[in-house]
Amino acid sequence: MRSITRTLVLAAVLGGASGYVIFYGVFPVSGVPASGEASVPWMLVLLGITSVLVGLSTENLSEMIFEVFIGLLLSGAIATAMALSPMLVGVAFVSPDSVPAFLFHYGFLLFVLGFVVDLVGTSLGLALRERYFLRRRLPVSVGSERK
Amino acid sequence: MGWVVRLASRWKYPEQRVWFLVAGWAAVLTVFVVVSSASYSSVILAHTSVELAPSRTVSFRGTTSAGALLTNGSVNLTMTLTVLNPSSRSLALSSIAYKSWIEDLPMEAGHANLSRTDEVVTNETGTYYFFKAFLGSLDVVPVLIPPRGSGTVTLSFLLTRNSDATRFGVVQEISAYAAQIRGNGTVMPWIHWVQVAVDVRDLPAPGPDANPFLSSLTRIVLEDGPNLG
Repeated sequence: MRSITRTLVLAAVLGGASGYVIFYGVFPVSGVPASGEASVPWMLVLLGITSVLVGLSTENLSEMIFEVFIGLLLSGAIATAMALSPMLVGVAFVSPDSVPAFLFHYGFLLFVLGFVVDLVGTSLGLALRERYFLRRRLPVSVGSERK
Repeated sequence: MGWVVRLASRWKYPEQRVWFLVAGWAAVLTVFVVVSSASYSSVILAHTSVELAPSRTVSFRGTTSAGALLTNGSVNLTMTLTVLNPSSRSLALSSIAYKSWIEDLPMEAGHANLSRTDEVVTNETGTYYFFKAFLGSLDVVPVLIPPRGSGTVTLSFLLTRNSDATRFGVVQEISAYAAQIRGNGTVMPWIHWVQVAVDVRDLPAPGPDANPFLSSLTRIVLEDGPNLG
């Protein structure tokens, strides 16, 4: 159960970053920071930091794979929710049905970018975790009861 | 307070410390998501709530006592455009396009040899012909429209023989006919159309390679009146 919860939480963090990047890529004028054109380095920084941190918190490879794929689904949901956010203030600007297709059309490359960076970043994070956390702790924690 | 103790106990293990970073980063991402959504919502709200309240007057100068336009006369169209901005965005009125049509009584009466193209309006009361007397588009010095405020611009356009001999000639002919038939050549039905472009000032301008929908996001287009063509 803890493993599932951890996977879902980390997938949500990945999905949040990717969803934000997709929204920012499609609507950079409303992003943080607002700009006339989306900044690719900024998107890479956001995705990179997120995925490495998630990788560092991931326990094993199978969890990582699940996180990346669930994160991909959540990124679409979060980007769509952001694009539909005007409905929260009672404004229906476009047909809600058309928003996911619109984001997928204009943000397709960003979906791909998010997925690739998430895969690479989480793998890197997982490798760093193996290299620096678990191996360093191994001589100390052998025989410990902590799970 | 038990959760604080449990949370603090995680700090002992290096691999658990990452969770603090993950939590902090997730909070930063959440702020980005919320701020972006709020910014986007306020722009969309501006699109749907900004209103145009125009008023126009058409006056004739240099007419006969019956109102027929003389050759050295002029027709003056004055437009006062007020943009009401109930949104929280700072806006600026930047460009205007306009057209005004005068009812073409001679054409409706079936006069022959009228070498002009009119717009035909048909409704339940009949068929009417309108001649486009004024048209144009122009960029104006941006008129600031503060959040929850309004901005007004007044523009005046003059039709004379020198400015546009063809249109002036037609209006002169219509006013002469109206003076003859109705007794007053200056009181004629007009149809006005105006389109104004309002820029969202507190958003960066989209880059030259940006998708067209970004330009339509940062520019609000308002219309008033029927555009006959």
